Amino acid sequence: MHNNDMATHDIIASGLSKSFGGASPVDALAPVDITFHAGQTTALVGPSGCGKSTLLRLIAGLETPTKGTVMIGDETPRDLAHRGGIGMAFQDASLLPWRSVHGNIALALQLARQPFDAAAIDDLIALVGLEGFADARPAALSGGMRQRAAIARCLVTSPELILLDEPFGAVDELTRARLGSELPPLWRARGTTAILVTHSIAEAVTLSDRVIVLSPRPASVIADIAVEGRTTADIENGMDAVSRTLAAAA
Amino acid sequence: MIYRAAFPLLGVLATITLWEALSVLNAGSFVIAGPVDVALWLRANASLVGHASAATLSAAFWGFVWGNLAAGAIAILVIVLPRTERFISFAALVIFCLPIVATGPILRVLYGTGTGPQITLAALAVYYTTYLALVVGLRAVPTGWTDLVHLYGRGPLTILRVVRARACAPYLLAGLQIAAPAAVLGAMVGEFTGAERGLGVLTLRAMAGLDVVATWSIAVVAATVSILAYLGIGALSRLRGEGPPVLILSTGSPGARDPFLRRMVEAIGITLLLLLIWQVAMDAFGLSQFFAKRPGDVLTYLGDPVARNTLLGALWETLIWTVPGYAAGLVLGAGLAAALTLLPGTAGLIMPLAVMFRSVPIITTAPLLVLALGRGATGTITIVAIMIFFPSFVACLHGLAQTPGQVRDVFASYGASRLRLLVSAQIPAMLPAFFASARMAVPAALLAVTTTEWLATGRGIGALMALTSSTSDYNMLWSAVVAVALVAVAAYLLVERAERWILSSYAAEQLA
Amino acid sequence: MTSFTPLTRRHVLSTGAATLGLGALGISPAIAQTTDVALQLSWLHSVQFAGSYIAQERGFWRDEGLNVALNPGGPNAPVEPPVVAGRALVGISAADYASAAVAQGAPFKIIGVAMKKNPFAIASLPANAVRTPADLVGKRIGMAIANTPVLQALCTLNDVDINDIEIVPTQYDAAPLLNGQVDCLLCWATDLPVAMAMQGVESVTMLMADHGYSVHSQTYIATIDSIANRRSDVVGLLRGEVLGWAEYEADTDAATDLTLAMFPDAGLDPATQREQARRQIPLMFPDDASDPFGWFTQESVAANIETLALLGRDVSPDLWDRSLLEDVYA
Repeated sequence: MHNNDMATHDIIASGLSKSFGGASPVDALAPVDITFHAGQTTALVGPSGCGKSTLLRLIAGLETPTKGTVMIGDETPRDLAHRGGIGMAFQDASLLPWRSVHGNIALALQLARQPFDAAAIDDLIALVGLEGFADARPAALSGGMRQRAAIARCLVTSPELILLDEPFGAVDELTRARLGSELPPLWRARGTTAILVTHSIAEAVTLSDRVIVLSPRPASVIADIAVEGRTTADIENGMDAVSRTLAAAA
Repeated sequence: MIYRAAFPLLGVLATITLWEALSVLNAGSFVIAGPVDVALWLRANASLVGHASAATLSAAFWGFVWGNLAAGAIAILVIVLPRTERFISFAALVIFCLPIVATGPILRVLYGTGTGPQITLAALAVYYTTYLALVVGLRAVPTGWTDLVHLYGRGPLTILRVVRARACAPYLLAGLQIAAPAAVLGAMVGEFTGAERGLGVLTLRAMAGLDVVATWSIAVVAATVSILAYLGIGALSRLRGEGPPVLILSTGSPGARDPFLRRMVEAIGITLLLLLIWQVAMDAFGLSQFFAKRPGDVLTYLGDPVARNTLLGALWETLIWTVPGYAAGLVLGAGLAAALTLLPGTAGLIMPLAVMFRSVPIITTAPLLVLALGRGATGTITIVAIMIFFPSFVACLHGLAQTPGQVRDVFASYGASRLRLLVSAQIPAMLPAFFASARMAVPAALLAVTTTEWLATGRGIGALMALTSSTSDYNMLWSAVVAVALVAVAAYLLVERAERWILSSYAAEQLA
Repeated sequence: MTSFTPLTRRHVLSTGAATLGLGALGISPAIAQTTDVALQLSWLHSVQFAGSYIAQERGFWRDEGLNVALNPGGPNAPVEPPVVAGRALVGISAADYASAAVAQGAPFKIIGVAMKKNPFAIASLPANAVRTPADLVGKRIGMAIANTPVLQALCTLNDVDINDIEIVPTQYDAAPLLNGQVDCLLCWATDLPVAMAMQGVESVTMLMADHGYSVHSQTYIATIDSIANRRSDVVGLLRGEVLGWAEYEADTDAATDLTLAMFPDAGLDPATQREQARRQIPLMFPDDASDPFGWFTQESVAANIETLALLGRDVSPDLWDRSLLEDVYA
């Protein structure tokens, strides 16, 4: 694995906006200025179609901004991506069906041009609780297991930044709750910066240090709430704050 | 479920019994030879057939390899450089539609002796369907997979290598399944350009010698090889755990939604480019103007009203029987597929029959069917229908199976009959598959009709091309080639228009 | 790959399939002096070209310093284009096809005629026989539409109205006659009637050449350029043919055996080939002509021009060039 487990740079989005379409463009994201702090987990919540996924994809370098920039230290997302500095878990896990769990995780190393490290992969598989399934194909796994494999893949390159796009969207409520408690320590322990997009206020508050609430399309920031601690009371306070903000916006 | 597994076997047995019965009923008519006679003949001529099969199959094999490699190369080009797609798709269609009657002799002159023409014709017979399958397969990749590659800063070539190349495997295998019988047919027809041995040579010999048993025996050998290749590739795809065979739903031409005028301008541009390639290729090979006519020659020649009328007359004669055959084949394919969903399980019974029908080479079936059904409309229409019925049947079966489970449940909850479900839910769900097969059937129908005219009925543009090549009227031959290619492209575009028009009311989501 | 072990002719013959391959490798003491040329045949290998096989097997061409490849034809094989393109030195065509090619700008001459009598014939069954052109009236005739001008010419030559004959398009096949779909067939005297005979069906054959249809068949064609610049090769090739066909005339059964031995994979039926070889004799060596093989007279050329005119071809006697045969027989 890579040496620098601790992320050192904030991610700074300045004047960032995105519109789609040629002749009559649709604004997916109004210009926003957000700083995501290094080593923190930040959740983005907001109504459906508000542009939170677009924001995440801009940070991943998967989309080009219409205006504005995203900088991580003195690097653009693409610079960071090139050296395997970004990991991302997609809504639908996006595992390649012809590769085993092990093979899917190894693929990230291959794509990031990092040396193959079977032991590290096995450790991660164990860490996400998939022991015994290393050779299984995705089709043989449950939705929750697939998501755990996707998280393992996202972590294997020891990225400075991980992006989670509704990673538990396709998972049932019980599994969701379990993954929500088991997985975040994996990246928190390494000090990795994480940005999470979710529909669920509970999930946002449970998993994150900070919740940013976005308005309906085109998205802009309407609230920025810090989750102070991990106790039940802290979390309930956080959920109240977020719910009130969303209700006020509606 | 055991009884279902036995259905394919029953289908084979039923076919053989029916075949023997027909041969007994038609004894002495020199039209049909039964399985018993065929088996005896094959045993008596094992070594002859062995050598002939070796010659033809090796040409078919190499044609299969080269044709599919070429298909792979152009499909990859289209994926990596999407801008080239319109031109490549158009050129691939035009080249696929060039009639064998015309390309055969030219290839023979280019290659001199040897198996070059056999291999090339086999390759030409396979590349188009594989190309279509590959383009669909290479594209059929969820954005999540491509995002994953982009996420690590890698580009289209990595996506091609890591994701697309592997994701297209089931589509490729499905395409290869269709290609295998075509390669055998291409190699056999290639032998008509002058060969010492092979199944095509034996077929000619047997037909001219009134040796019906030999004719049928060779057809059986060719069909068996085709069926084995079909089943072998099918088994390969199951072995690889690809699951059920995929349906090749080739998308229509890119930009089919563009304004009509713009498409016309573009079509003209592409045509001019093809004409330029034609001219340059002829000059590059230094082909004699005597037989290798250039675009200018054809244009000058068609300025003569007599020539033009002869050509248009022959073309008309061909089309008035092709269109009903084409329609009949599609309706038959769709109809049979629909009928089978009403009687579940019978698919296993019918599939072997359908595969067999499709695998018997048309150069054998055409004269036999014409003899059995007459030289008029019935014979020709039937042959065209048989040639295109199978792909449309398979596509429609898949299409019918696409009806979402919830839709079925809704119908079931109202106690609707199977028929009601079919008419109201399954047939609309089948339409995209039906139209995809209808587009791919256009070149197949033209191949069937021109071959039939050439070898059996002696009328229409197929016969005109054969005649003009024997009387060295190469101006007319090339004009006919251009006419056939134009008709093919026009028909393809027409079907595509009908497709968009109908799908816009029945399956709008397919047009997104 | 080339072996110089001396091979006896019997050995070569007995190895059958190997013959062609070895011939193509040019195994002969005179290996350094041979010139590679090709003869483009007009159809698949069969006794139709047995004289050429004899020439090759007996070394008649080797003696001329030639190594001749015999390129098979077929239903979709070009004959004239390889000659024009220089892939074949000489091609086997027919006067009607050759004149058509010349009209399209091919620089050909007919330099020899293997079949002095045209093989086109009307075949019918004895119960409903066509023995003279007049018998065609009211009959249904099966033929390739492409051959309509041939039937038209026969009708004109014999004062028969072609509109009194019903033309049914058929191809390469005698079955329509046997099934009663037609009353007679326009075919070659050496193909479908032989096929029917082999199936035990007796048929009546009316040779069109006996009713005024004069079109040289199985003619040798070469380009004007080859005749001028490669004259000795062309003459050598013709000389081999002349010698080969002379042996053929002497013993058609031996010629058939050779054909079968050289092309074991061609699917040739021995009985059919034997019969076809016999029936070719009167076409190539007619009783009424004392001329040697390949020869053609001014009168036959004149008759050809007349028949070709009926076929719609305006031909001049220049199409024929006998000077090479004159060299052969000098």
